[in-house]
Amino acid sequence: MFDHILRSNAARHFEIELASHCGFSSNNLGVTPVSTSTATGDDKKANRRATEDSSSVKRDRRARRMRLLILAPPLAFVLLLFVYPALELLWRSFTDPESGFGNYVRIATDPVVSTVIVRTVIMAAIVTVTSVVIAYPYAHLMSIATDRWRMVLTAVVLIPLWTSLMARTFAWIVLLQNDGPVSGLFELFGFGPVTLLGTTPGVVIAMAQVMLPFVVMPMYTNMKAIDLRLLDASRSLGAKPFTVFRKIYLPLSFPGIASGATLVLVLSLGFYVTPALIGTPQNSMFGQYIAVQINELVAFGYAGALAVALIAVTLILLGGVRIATKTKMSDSQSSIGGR
Amino acid sequence: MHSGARLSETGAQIDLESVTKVYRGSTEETIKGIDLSIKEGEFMTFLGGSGTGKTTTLNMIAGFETVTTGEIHLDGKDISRQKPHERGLGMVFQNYALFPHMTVRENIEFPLKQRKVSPKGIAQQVNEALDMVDLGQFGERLPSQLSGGQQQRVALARAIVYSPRVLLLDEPLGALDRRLRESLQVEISRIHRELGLTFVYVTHDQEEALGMSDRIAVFRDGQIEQVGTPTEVYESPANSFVATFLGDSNVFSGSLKGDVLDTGWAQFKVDAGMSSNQQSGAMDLVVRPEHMSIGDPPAAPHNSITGGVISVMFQGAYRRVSVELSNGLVCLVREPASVRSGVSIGDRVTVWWHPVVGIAVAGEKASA
Repeated sequence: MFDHILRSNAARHFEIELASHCGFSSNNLGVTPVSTSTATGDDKKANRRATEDSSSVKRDRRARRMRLLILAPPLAFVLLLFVYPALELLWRSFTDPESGFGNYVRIATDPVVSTVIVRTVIMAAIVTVTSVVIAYPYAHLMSIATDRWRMVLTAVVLIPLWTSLMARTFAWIVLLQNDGPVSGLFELFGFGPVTLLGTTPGVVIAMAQVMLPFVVMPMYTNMKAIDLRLLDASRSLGAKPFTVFRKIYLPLSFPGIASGATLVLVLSLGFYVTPALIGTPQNSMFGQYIAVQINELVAFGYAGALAVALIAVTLILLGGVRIATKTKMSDSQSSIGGR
Repeated sequence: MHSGARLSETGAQIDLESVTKVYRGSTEETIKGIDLSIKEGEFMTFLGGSGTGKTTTLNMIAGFETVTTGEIHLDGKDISRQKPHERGLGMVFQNYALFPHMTVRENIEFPLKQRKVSPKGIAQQVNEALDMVDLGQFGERLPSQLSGGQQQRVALARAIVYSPRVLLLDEPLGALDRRLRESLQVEISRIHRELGLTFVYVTHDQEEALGMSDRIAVFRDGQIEQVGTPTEVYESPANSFVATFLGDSNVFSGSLKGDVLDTGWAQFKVDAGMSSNQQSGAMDLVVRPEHMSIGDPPAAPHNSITGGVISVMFQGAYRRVSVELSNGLVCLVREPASVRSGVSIGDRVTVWWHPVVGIAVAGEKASA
């Protein structure tokens, strides 16, 4: 009996500790503890409550310090290695080689920049669509496979992610060569010998492969949460297989498509290594163009301005995607969350 | 109040003929040969514990599971090779299976759209179905904005809106709390009466089965143990499994000699009518707790046993008294609360019953 009470007290204490460390105590939620002493108020009781309050305040202060302590290293890391360089870049874009908006005026008027931007956006769009189309059935298979097969399928997607990007890109150079295996595959299907190295299709193939994990995983997570009985239900209500897909499965898997596609789009817009090695300077993407400014022309200010432009383009595209998918997203998300 | 005229149609007859099911990768039969004829407009309940094959059988009728051997007939036509969407049956699922991205109205419209009903017809039929389940004002809500009971009513409306001739219900009340279950039982019974459809209802809840069904099929281990009206399966169970599954029972095993059951530790008189349908030999005597009394037994032919009270549970309308016999068996007695017997734990008591209330069933000893 007593043992039990002791144990439950200890557990309660632990919970309180945990709660205060995690910031769930009432004070942090903005609830002020009110000590109301009734007319027949017991002084002892009131006193005890008061000491409890002050000790909880003390605990809160300690918890806050603890949180800061935990937060400090990553914060310092981000500030030093991301925020500072980004600000430095922004600063230089206005001051190097001379103060003013010169770099931005140059971007707005240089026809090469607009060509590269359009090409980059189109490439990113093609890569996104390609990856989504390849990843969708794959993620679906993963979501319905047995545990053993799911492990195999997950490994196949993730292992390339653990391999160095450089190694993979060089592997693609070998595979995409004239008379290489991929070209042979095209020939097998009657497309004749094709040149892939240094062409847009070659870059798309290599980039889509690199992007695959980023689109498969969100899709898989989303599809795993879809109740497959809904498909049975729609079949029993008279829906043919294609209708089941179009009216039920596709709308419910849409949030996964949207988050996967967004990820790939953002990553593709700034992609450098793969297009640089497999593509050519003639069909260079935005990342390559920036690299040329820094590596070959040492124009830090102009490169900074270009980077800002790339971020702006990315944000504009994201905004567009978000507006276009907003209604659908909120619908399906609330439904998934509701379960 | 409800204009069900348009939705109603006569139910269909379903015949299962030697239906078996072996799941892929398994050598054992999940369903071991079921023969069952469900009449037009009948409320048939598949009752059984989990893993007894009742849901598998329902899924085979619906078409979600293939039939390994045997045939399923709908009004005499073999449907066992048809796809689910070709069978035209209505189905209600335990977890409601409402389409979360559609409003209540869109959910109910769905089957009508598959059937290319005119927009005017759709609007009218959806409204009727919504009225039928008293959800007229909830049409524009999303399923996630409704309570569990309301969601299941939407699922019901969706399953009957296209006037299927058979409605399959897979533990539709399993996820709801007791009070809601009871009110939905009434509602489902009403819909069955008003529409006249054939209902096939799967449940593990014996109260649901006894209260709603025209007939009950008791499932056990991939087979049907007994089919009969609620009264039949309760009052004359085919064996002690059915007796113990439906309601509480006291089962005494022994061998029958004439109209006396010899358990080895006591001898009980068995009603002559009961003992005559049983051959002599291994037999179980089933006595319902509500047919047993505590106190001084009247003269013969009453049976009586004595033991010590080990628990008394007050349950409102009655008390559940457990009496442990000298041989360790525990006997359950249900005493109306109006009887002031005043037994308490530790008391030595005598439990008695009239032979007429005892049910003699074939012995389970050999198989159990």
